[in-house]
Amino acid sequence: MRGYNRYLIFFLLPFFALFMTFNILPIFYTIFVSFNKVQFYGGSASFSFTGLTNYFQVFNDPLFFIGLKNVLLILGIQVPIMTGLALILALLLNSPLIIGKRFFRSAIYFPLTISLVLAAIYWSFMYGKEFGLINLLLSNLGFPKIGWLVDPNIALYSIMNVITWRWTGWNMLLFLAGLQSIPPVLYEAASIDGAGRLRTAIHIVIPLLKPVFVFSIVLSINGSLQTFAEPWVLTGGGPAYSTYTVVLNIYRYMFGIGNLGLAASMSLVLGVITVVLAILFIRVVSKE
Amino acid sequence: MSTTVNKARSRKLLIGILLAYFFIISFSIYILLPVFRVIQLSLQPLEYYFSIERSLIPRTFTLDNFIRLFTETPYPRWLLNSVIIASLQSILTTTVCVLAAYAYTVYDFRAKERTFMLLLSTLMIPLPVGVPALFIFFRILNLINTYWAVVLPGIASVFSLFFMRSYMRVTIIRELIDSARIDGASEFKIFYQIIAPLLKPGIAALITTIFTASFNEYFWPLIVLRSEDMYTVQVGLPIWNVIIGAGQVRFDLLSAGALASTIPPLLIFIVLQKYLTMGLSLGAVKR
Repeated sequence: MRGYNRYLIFFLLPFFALFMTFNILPIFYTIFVSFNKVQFYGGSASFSFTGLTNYFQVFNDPLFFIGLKNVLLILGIQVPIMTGLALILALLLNSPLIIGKRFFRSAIYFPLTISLVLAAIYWSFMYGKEFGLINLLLSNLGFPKIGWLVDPNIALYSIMNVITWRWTGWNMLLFLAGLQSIPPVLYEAASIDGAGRLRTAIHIVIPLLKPVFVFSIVLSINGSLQTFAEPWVLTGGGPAYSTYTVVLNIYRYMFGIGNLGLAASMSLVLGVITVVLAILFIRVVSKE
Repeated sequence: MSTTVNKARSRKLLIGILLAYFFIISFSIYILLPVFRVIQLSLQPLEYYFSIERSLIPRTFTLDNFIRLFTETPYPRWLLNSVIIASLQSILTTTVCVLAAYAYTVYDFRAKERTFMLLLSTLMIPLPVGVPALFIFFRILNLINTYWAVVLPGIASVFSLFFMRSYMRVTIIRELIDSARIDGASEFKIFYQIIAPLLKPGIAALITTIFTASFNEYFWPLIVLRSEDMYTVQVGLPIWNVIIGAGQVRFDLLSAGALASTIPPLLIFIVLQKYLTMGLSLGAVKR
C-alpha cells in the first residue's frame, strides 16, 4: 500500500491548498485584522496597529449588546419551541397509526428547499399591516390588526416564526433519521412489558434520541447566533432595533461604517461566544 | 382482559389519533399557507394586493407579472448569475472533495485519522469569523464583484468530504483496486475508469445538494457582489422589498420573483430524491 503514496498528493493537494487558503488562513487573518485599523487605497490595503482599541469599541457599542440580547432571545425562545415541534412531528410521522405520512413529510420538508431570503419574502406577504394575509383573516373575524413587523414588541417574535417555519422540517428530518435507527425489538419489548405508546415514547424512544437532540441543538445555537437574512430582509433590524442582530451589526461595520478592523473583532467575539455556548451545552447534557 | 377495558383503550387510542391528525394537519397548513399566498399574488396584478374588496380565491388570473419579471427587470440576469455560480460551485466542490475523499478511503498515510478529525472539528467554527478577512483578501486580489469571489471559499468543503468518504466506505471494494493494480492499471486509471463509475449516484446526490445550497446562499454573495448586474436572485430580490430598497414595495415582482426562484432548487431536490434512494440502496446491496 505504501508504494502508492506518491499518488496521494494528486488527490489531496487541491483540497488542502484551498482549505488552507480560504478556510484556515482567513481565521488567523481575522485575528490579525482585529488589532488593526484597515484602510484601502485602490487595490491595496494598509494596516495600522491599534492594539485592543477595536475590542474596547465592540464592548462599548450598545448596538452589539442589543444584537446579542436579541439572538439570545431567539436561542432561548424559538429554538426550544422549534425543537419540541420537530420532535413531536417526527414521533407522529414515524407512527404506524398515521396514514398519508409521505404527503405530510413532503409538505413539512418544503421550506428546506428554499433560501432564507425567500422564506422571509414569503412571510412578508403574510405580515403586512394593512394587506397581509394574517391581518386580512383577523379583520374578517372581527379582531384588530396587528403590526407584525412594525410593533417593536412583536417584530422579534415574527422573525422567530419565520425561522421556525424554515427550520422545523430540518430538525424533524434529523429526529426521523434517529428514530429509524432504533431497533424495532425495543418497541416490541416495551409493548410486551405492557407499556403504552406514550410511555414507550417518553421512557424509551426520547432517551435514545439524545445524540440527535444534542447535534440539532448545537446546530441551532450556531444558527440562531448568526441570524441575519430574516431581519435584514423583513425589518432591516428595526423597528427601534427590536430585531437587530450581531451579524447585522458586523455588516453595518463593514459597509455602513467601513471599519473592517471593528468588523473582524466583533466576528471573533461572536465566534468565541458561539463555541463557548455549544461546549457548555454539550458539557451540561453529557453530565446528566 | 375484559371487553370494557378493551373498549376504553381503543377509544383512548382513537382520540389520540384524532388529536395527532389535528396537529399534523394544522402544522401542514401553517407551512403551506404562505406558499399558496405567493402563488396567488404572483398571478394577480399589483392593484389586487391593495384593493379593498378581496375575495381570497380570485376569479381571474394573469401571467403579466412573470412576463414583466423576465422582460423589464434585471431578474433574468440574476437567475443566470445564480445558475452559473451554483453550477461552478457544485462542479468544483464535487471534483475537489471526491478526490480528497478517495485519498482518505483508499490510501493509508501518516496522521490520516487525526487530520480527518481536525477537519471535522473546523465545522464548529462559525461562518462569520472568516468573513471580514476573506473580504479583504478578495479586495486585494481584485476579485470583488466576480463569480470567483463567491465560489472559491466554498470549494474545500469539509461537509462534502465527509459525505463522500462515508459513501465510498460502503461502495468501494478494496479487492477490486488490488486486482486492478496486479493487472498493471495506473492509479489514475483505477480511479477514473473503475471507481468513478461506481460513485455516480453519490456524486449526483452531492452535486445536487451543493447546487441547492449555493443557489440559496445569501450572506457571502451579499458581501462580495457589489453591482446590480452581478447579483444573484437571493441578493437581488429583497431590493424590491420596502425596507431595503426605497420606494414602493413591488409585490407583483416580488411574488413572481419569489415563486420563480423557488423552482430551480425544488427541481433539483426532486431529482436528488431519486438518486438519494438509489445511492443508499446501492450501498446496502454492496455491503
